Amino acid sequence: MKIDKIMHCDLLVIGAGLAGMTAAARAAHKGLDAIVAGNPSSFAFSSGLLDYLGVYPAESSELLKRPELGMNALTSDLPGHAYTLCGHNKVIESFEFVKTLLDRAGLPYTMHRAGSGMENKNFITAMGTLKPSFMIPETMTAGSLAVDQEKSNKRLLVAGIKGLSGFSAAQVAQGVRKYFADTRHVDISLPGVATGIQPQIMAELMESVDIKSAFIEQLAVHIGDADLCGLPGICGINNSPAIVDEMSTRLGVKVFEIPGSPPSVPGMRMAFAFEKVLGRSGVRMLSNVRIKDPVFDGKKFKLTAGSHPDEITIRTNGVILATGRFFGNGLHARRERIVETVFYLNVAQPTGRHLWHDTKFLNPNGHAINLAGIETDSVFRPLDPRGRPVYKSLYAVGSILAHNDWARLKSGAGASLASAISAVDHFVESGGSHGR
Amino acid sequence: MAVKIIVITVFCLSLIGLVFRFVSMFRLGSVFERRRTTLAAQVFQLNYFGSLFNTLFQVRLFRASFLRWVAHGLVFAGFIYLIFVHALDDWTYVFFDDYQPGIDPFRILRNIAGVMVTIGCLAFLWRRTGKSRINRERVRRGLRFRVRGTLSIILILGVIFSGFMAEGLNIMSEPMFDDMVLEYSGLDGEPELIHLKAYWEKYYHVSFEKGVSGVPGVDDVSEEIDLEQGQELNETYCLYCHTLPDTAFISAPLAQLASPIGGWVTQFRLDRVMYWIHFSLVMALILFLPFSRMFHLVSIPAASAGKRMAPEQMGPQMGLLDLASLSACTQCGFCSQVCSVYPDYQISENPQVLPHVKIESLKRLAGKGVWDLTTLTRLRSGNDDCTRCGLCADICPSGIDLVRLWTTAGHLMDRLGCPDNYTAAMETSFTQWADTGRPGEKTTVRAEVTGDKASVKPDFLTGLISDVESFEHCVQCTLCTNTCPVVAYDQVQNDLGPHQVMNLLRLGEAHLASGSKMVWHCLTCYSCQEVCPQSIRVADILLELRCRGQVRAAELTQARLKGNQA
Repeated sequence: MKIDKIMHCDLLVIGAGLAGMTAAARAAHKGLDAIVAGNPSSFAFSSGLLDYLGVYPAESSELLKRPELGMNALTSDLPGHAYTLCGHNKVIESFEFVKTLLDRAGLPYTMHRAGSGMENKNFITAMGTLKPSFMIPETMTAGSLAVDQEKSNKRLLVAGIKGLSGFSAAQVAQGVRKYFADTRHVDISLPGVATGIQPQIMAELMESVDIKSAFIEQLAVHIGDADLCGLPGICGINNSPAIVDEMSTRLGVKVFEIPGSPPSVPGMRMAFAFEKVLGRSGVRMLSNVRIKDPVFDGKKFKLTAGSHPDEITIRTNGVILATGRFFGNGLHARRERIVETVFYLNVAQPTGRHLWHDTKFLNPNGHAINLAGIETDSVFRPLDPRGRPVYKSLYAVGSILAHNDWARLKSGAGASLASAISAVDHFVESGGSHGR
Repeated sequence: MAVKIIVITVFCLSLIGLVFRFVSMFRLGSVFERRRTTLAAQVFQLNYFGSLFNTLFQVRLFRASFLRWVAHGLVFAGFIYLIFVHALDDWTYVFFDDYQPGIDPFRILRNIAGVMVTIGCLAFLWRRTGKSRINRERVRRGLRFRVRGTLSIILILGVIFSGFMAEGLNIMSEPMFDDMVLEYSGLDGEPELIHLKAYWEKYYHVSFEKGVSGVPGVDDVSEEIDLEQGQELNETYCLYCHTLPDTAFISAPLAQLASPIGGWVTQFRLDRVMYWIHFSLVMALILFLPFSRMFHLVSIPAASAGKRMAPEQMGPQMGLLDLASLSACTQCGFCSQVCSVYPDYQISENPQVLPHVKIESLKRLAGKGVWDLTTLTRLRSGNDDCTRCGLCADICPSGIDLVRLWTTAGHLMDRLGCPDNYTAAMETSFTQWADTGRPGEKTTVRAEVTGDKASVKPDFLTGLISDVESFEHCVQCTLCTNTCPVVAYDQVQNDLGPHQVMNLLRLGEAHLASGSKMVWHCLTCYSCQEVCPQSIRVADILLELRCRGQVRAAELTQARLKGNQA
């Protein structure tokens, strides 16, 4: 059965990761008719925390307390970096925009003010280590405030769940011992939970009154004199703030979540929140389709979505490419060359495969392949080899951009948000929506 | 008189045959369970209007396929006309002013009707050669049918052809002319007859063996002949019943073609012979009606009178096999063209997935009981694959309530002690499942489950398991397992998560994977496929695995049934 269908829109966002979702939300905010095509599952591989700039320079082992201070150095060091292209104010504006957005979807986040600016905070990971981040879910904030000062006088209880995969209360307690006056851990066994339960399923269970009450009752026995209680990030999917609040109230201590290894529930919460917001704003989502065969007729793009036999033709004024890197299939590593998979854009990359990786896996200088990606002009339009925008209304945003070793700089989220929002804003300013 | 006796006898025999068919059917229908609802209660619930409508206009066939409706309609309309106006003219002449078989419009209409039936029947035969490529969906699905009823079609063609021949020979027959002259005119032996003969030879294609003079050797009478006088005589005596025969556009040329054998016609009265052949063929058609494809004339009205019944409405009728409906099946195959579990057939290659095959097997099951364990278990397997979506019943031109049949079939096979595949799979350990017999022993299952037999062409929905590309990109991120409602519903009962099934595939253990509980419990909600970051078609793969597992499960069931029998 072949479905011949044509969809029209102002802006097509390819990719439903953080950058894609943000771009679509911004487009809807600006009154554009947008379509998102992609798979939001990439959120499950994010921690649910949004970084701005955690470390700079990358070789430094110190947490960068004030990102804007690192920005000054970064701007002069890396002229092609997304932050350099849009500037500190645009980044902060982007964070604010997304924070408001997620707030409205019932997923509040916190950013920490410090004097005139903002600052990074450490949070506790499921490995028992500390990591800096910029925008933190409210359900985790209590934990990061506690580890802010060296050796607080707080007493911590880490509670795990028997059978939950990817979280060990003992390991977390061991790791953060030095920041607390007293650290204990306990494993709660819940009815109907066998070995190897997956975090998302546990989080869904936690939304049921029975399981939640059983959990709270058992935990109450162990709470003792603790001031703080750390839980794995499984306190519900759709109403985590309420569940964490309820636990805090009923246990009489401050409860916070500890984000775990992928697939992570906090990441999925963000995906659901974005989907809700986009749905309310009338953005159409084509889930789990591949975009291919782009054609530009001088005015509009024509692309094909989906695979045989259900192919949809999309006609749009502008395209935002937010397909991510290798895991998201935005970039594909061929034997000798890295290619971009939708438009076959020019990819800035090392000249040969032997230069992709350093011989040492944990080289503090990183690997050259992580800097590869799409080079753009100042409004995130991809450039051809001669340095001119390929199309006037094609933008590339998010992790596909070149010169951003985000895993080392802890700058992934910020670059995605800022590039996405700058690109959409430019598209609106250049009158892209009126071509229709 | 003799004709009437024969006709009445044949009709009686045919009626007895019909009664016999229905009685044996009802006897078979209650083989499994006693009839609990009274016949009267059922009779009042019938959809008489729909049945009549479908019988007269074949509305369901029209919806299914326009072309076939045209072919069928040609035969049906032509035949109805011939029966009503031509065969039964002794009674039906009262409906028409001045009915005479030899005048227009009756003569031309008769020929048109004959041509209609012939064209339709030839179309039927063409379809049966299997060379017809008109039906694209059928060709795409590679469906083959054992189309029967060829004999009935040939019989009908025989009736029509002999009818044309009889008319043609009648037209040219000299003895017939003589008889008519004797009966309806006072011209016998009169000299004027020669003019009428000449006129009839010229315009009515009668073939006078000895010339119009009637005297051998005296041919040269042309000067005496006055065609105008012949025309006058014709108008006086003949024209009331015989207009010019050229409007019999098939028979008249046949008469002209046959003029060389005019002598034989006169000598052996071939016209009479042909008439009796025509008559006998018609009698044969009536006689065989209950036992040939023609039976659908009776069974389809019966089947399409039934109201569609949802499985939950059936109640005590669950065990009642509706054999009237079963015999209404003409094996037209529309059901298998729309069947939504057709991909199951592509994967498992179990023909008993297809509705038109299931019907045949059900008929045999009802008639003979359990005759063959392989077919029984495969029927069970195929019937369990059915999702009761109702597409087959929607399209069935005979109006058979197929969904009801499938529900009944499942119930009947329960009664026969044939468990479903799910039970077989759940009551089997992995070791038993993977058992392929003694070392060196050739087993069919393994080959069928893991082999890539290409008799059914893989397409978008199948062939995923044999294509490494479809699952090799799995990074074991467990998103599918995280989102799976089956995994969430029962951690304990389920064995593997979808990501583990994908891993089994990567290890080359497709056969083992097809026996896992995950595969058999999968709801095909497609959550896994939605979230997969690598765009692996997880749900499609699970579904294909289950279809492959059906083959192994059916084999296990069969082994168990054999064990029970021993």
